[in-house]
Amino acid sequence: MATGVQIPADKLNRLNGLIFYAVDKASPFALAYDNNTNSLDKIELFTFGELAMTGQGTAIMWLWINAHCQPDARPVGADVASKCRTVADVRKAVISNAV
Amino acid sequence: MNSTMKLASLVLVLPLLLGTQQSRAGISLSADEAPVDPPWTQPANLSLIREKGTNTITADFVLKYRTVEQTRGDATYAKKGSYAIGVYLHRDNTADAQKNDRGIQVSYSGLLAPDWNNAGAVVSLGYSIKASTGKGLVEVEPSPGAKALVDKTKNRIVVGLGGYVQPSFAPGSVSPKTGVQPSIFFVDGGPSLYLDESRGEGVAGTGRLSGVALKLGLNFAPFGLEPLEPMSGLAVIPTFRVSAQTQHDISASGSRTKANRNLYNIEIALLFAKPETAVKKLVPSLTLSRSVGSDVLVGRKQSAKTELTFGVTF
Repeated sequence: MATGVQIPADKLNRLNGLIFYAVDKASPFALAYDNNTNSLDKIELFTFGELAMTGQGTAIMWLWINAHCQPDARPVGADVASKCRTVADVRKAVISNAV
Repeated sequence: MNSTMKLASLVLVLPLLLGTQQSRAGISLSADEAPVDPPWTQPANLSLIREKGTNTITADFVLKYRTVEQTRGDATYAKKGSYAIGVYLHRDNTADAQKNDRGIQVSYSGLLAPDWNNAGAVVSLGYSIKASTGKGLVEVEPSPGAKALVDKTKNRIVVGLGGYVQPSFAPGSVSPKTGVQPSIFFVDGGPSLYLDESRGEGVAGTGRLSGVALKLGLNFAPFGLEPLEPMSGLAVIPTFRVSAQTQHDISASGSRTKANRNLYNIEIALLFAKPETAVKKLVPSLTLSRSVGSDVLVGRKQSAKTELTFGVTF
């Protein structure tokens, strides 16, 4: 997405929902069932390690995001994905690929 | 998370003997860093040494090309897969250590994540098929006392499934916390089918072997997989793995005989990491493993091994 272009609210909501769902799928914590972690904003600052995500868990998260992000966003490439360490990094990578 | 950065290097080394036979000069060309996630992997080495009028060539080439991953999914699953083709050549014409292995391998591997309950275990299923054909030099004894090197042809197909299960923390029992690394436990492994064929004039143990294998691994990282904030210098991340594998031959032909093989392994790894978030960094690791058993697919005969490995990960 070009810098400065506003993403429509419905598209942003769908992408945020997808990211939260993918992280919840990849973490052994029941994030959606916990009042402290039941939204993307509440888990954004956690690292993958704090969410007990392994390398395979991270692969599952990216697989889920990339298989379901279209047509709202382009899939995130492996070069960008490999640099992400926190949920905020994932959000930034996905949102910057919004189309 | 200490995900491994893919870093491939292509090294071309051409040691040349210049001047007198006692002096040796070398030219080294090195490209330490390849593009992230390149379609090709593995290093290549070529060495040509001329000494006392004799040329010695050693060559190690493994070139692997992987296609772009195709990702698909609907409300019930997500999956991806890619094909790979690789060629290899390991050649050494040193008189007392001759080697001439060459071959090709074609494979498809994929990963599937089902949409099961997100409050449940983290689950995925890998699947792969690998076919390879190649030749390698082996020593035979054509007549008593005589030694000769002949080509042994090796063909193999392996079809496998690889499951991954990381049990969930019970809902409501524990929440993630900033600065706290929860312990990690997961199980991996699965069944596979293999068909292995070897041929060669005068070579022992030729014929076909088919069978089924099952592998199971238990993995535990008591302090998580990420270094904690630094108390001082380097953080140490211990991980433990116990695995067991069994192979059961279904059929055998030629001079090969059916057998059942088991292989057990216990492994303790110490990963040393700096707790900074630098993307690229050298991470040393120390692994101590003890294994007992045999594995026909890697050519391991019944044995007990203790191995200490020092490695680095980029």
